[in-house]
Amino acid sequence: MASGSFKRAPVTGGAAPRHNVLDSLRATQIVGSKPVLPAELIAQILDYLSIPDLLRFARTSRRMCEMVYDDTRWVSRLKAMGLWNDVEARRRAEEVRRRQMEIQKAREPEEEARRLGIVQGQSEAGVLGVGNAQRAGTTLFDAGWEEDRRRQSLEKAKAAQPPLETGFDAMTLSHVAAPNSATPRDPALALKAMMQVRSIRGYARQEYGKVYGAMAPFYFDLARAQSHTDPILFRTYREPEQQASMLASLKVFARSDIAMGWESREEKLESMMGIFENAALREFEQGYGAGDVDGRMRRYAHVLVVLNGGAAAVDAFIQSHALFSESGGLGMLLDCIQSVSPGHGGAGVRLEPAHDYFRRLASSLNEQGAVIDRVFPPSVNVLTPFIERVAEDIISEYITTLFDEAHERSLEAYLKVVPGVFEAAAKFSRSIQPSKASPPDFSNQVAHLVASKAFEQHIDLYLQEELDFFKRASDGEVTAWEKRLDDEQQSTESFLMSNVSRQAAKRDFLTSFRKVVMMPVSVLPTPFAGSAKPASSPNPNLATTSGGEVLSAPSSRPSTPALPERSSSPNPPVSELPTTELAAKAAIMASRLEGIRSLFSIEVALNIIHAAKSSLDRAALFVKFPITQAAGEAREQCEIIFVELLNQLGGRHIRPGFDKAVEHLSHYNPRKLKEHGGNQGQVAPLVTFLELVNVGDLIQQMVDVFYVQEMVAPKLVDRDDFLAAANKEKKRFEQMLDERVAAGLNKGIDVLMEEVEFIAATTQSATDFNPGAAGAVDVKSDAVVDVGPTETATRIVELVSSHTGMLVGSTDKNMLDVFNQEVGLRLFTALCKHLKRQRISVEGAIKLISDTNAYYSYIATLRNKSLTQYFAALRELSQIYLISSKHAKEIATIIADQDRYYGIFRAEEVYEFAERRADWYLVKRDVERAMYGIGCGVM
Amino acid sequence: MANDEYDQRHPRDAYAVVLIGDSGVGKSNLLSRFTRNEFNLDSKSTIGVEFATRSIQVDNKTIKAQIWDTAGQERYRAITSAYYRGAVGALLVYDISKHQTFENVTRWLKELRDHADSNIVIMLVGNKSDLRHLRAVPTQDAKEFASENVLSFIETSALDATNVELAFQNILTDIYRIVSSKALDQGESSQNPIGERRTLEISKPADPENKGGKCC
Repeated sequence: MASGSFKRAPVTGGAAPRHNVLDSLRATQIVGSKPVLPAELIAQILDYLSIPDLLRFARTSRRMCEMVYDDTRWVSRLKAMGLWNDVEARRRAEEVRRRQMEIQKAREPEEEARRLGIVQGQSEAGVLGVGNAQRAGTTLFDAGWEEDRRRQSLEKAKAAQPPLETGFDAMTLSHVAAPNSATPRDPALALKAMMQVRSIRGYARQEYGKVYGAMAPFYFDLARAQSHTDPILFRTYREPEQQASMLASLKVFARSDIAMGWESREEKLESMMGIFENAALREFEQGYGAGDVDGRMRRYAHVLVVLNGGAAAVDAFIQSHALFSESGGLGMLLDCIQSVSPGHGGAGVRLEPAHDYFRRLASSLNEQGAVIDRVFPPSVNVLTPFIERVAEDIISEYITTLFDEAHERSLEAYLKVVPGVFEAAAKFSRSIQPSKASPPDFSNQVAHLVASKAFEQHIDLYLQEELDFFKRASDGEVTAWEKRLDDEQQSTESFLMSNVSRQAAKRDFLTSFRKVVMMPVSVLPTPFAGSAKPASSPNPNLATTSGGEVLSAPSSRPSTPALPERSSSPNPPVSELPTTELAAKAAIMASRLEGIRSLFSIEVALNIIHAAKSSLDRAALFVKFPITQAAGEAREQCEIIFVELLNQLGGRHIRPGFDKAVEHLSHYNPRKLKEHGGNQGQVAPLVTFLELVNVGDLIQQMVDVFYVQEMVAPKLVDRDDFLAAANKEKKRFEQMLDERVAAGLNKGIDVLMEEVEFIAATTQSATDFNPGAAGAVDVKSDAVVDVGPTETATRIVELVSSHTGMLVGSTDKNMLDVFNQEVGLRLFTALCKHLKRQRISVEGAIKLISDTNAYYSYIATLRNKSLTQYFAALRELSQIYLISSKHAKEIATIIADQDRYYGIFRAEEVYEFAERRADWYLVKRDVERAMYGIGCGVM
Repeated sequence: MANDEYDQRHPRDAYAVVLIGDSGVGKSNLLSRFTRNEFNLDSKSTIGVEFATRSIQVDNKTIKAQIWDTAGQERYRAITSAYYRGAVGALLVYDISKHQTFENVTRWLKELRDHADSNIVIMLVGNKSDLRHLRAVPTQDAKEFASENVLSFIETSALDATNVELAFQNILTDIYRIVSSKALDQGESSQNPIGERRTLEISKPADPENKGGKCC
């Protein structure tokens, strides 16, 4: 509509002026000089005209009128005052368009009807005509309809008041009544003029006109006034509220004043407002002084708020508040540290006074909140700046002194006070009731304020101290333990856990451990809750007692021996006095090997983890710190603590232990120990090493539980963030453990196989597989009756299975599979080697088959398919010896049958085994002839 | 070998019994049921041979049975014949739910006759009698076959332990009676069944020679 015509203007700019000029300025046209200023320039000039001049200018010509009346000009003025709402305007415009569309649609059938020439009765024709008239009216006057609606709503709104612009409708576009009228209209109406402006496209001028009509008289009068008593404004309005609101409106109106001299007018307005504000403020303060909360304070607070948001009033209110002058009365500052009983060795800290302090502060603040609600209108947020001030002045001062004092006294006290007080402060910020004017995230804001004003400065130091403290504590723990270990080196002790189900014991242990980890470190003894829990229970005590419980509860848990207490129970084999030098050496060796389990201890790990937990719990409080940067730092610090924990546990505690253990293992010599009658059926150092693996695995699981509980659950670390330092370190820790275990197992397998070979070499008698060889021909057949495996096989199976069984549940399944596979293969090799040393008769074959069956059934329990196949091949192989010498030729076929041995033995290998037959030299010729043909048989 | 002395004192009371029959008829489970009272539903096929012993009472005498559980799928005669060597009894097992296994009984019997001691006591055992609904071999047929070939016959189920004990008891009793009567007949009190096996071995060299002739 209007904007459309404006857009067209520049396009038709060439034609339109010429047309006009032809009418009025024919002479100039003839001369051929420039006809008129370009439209842009005129528009620019128009901007500087005052409203009356502008309208006068509009009268000069139709084009000028169009230019002046151009809607954008007025919209921009309304916008300057902040009274134009684009969304509303668009909505209205769309509504209009929609109605037009509807009418269009409605008209179509009628037109069709008319085209068809169906003329109904007289009355119908009349109706039609009326309809047409209405349609025409609406299309033409949809703006007018808008006006009607506006008028109606205005009437409703103002109830008794007649519409402001009575004769003002779409048809009288050119009559702008308001701007010129010098006399102020109804003063009450003028106050509301601003609020009634609506955004209608094409009617911005009219809307502005109304505002101008209401405001201009006061405005220009004010600008001319000499003193503050002069302006009609103060004479028209008597009430300070009205005056304030009018002044505020004028201030807004002044922004649309872009005509010449606006600076001075605005300045004048400002100074008037200043004078008014001061007067009002004085009244407010007097009211404050007199304690007249609901009377003068409230009234002038409202006045000031209406005038300019009430910042001055808020300032005055906060500035002169009693809380800041009497802060000492809230609580004794150093109660927290001073009232510590000396028995706690300076570590105990009472936080109750701090809680009391904050409680009192909160209650007095809440009282103030109520007062603020009464004094200030709900549009002004007074409480937030007030609390900001409180945090800055009172709390900050309080905690700074407190922290300094605590830090001087002892580090531990400091470490406990800081998070404790922070927690108390957090509670405090939560306990403050929001006032009516507070934003929805009030408590967040409060927390943020308290944190930033009071705590931010302390956080860095605290986190650093926390880390240092933990480092020192864990370091001390490990060092002390190492020292103890050195002292204990001589005494031996052993607790074999072979009879205990490791998995059950471990699960048992881990559940209790998990419980302990989940238990919150009570930095805060029931803050604000008021329950009578003793506040002086310091968390390390708590932690260690529960840790102790954990260790003592499953009495079956042998784990690592607590060194000092149990040294009274020496290892039985060692208790015999070593008589010979060799025995003495063996005893020392045994004691060293027994010591493997003392290479690291669960207790130490537990203690370190507990220290880490308490440090972490305290530091983690600050992750909720409302300031993101500090929270990030706290988070980082938590990660560092965790990393440090892993370093201490892994690098300083577990790794040396494993390394030492592996070294011991490699020194192991079964022959030496065997003579002394060591543990039957078990390789002592391997057992201890496997125990070590168990303990290591336990510690790793502890770390894992700890990680999940302390790092992942409180969202300190994202489990999937592979770049996070904590995750990386944890990986490294696990890797380290795995490597050590693998290395140890490798050594362990060596040792185990040595033992197997040792048993095989020492216990297998020549008559086992060759009963006839001993010369007792009569006896040989009887041996068959006893078909069980030989003692050697029984012992080997026992030995190996007891060691593989020990690992079940202590390492992960893959590791176990690899270990079993390795053990199985090595056992297989050892057995083949052993077999090739024997001589086997047909009768002895039954024994041998029994043996291989025994090995096979043991291997089958490992559930390793390829391994099972090896031993199945061995079983097949052992049947060679069962064949009587009569079938020598078929022996050759059986040797050559590749499928029979699952591809594990080649024919040459089987042949080698076949050579171990007791009657080999009887059958050799036949076998070879069958295998290589007659020609080769000569060989 | 601590047991040797014991065995030496009662040499004639140990008897070797061999379990034969097609693969999968349940030989191993019969054995485990008899010696350990165990049953394994998903047992694998036996590799080679397995041994087990159990003592039972026959005519108020304790005799020791050494049972060889053989692989049904063994292809080499040299090895199967090794199984029969020295056996004084054989349980020829078939699966009552698989007719083929019953048909193969003839083949097994032939092998026994060829390689084992001619005095061997053979019992035909129809295993898996619990699978009544799947029965493929009528009891009557089996009975007739048994009487034709002079075998004793029994139907067992290793799964529900029906007749397992009885089967072993019967065959061992038969063996015991035959052996002791033979011992009496021959008057060779010192000879034991396993000794017989030895004689058998010695008496058999003709066989491989024949075979050797054939092969070459």
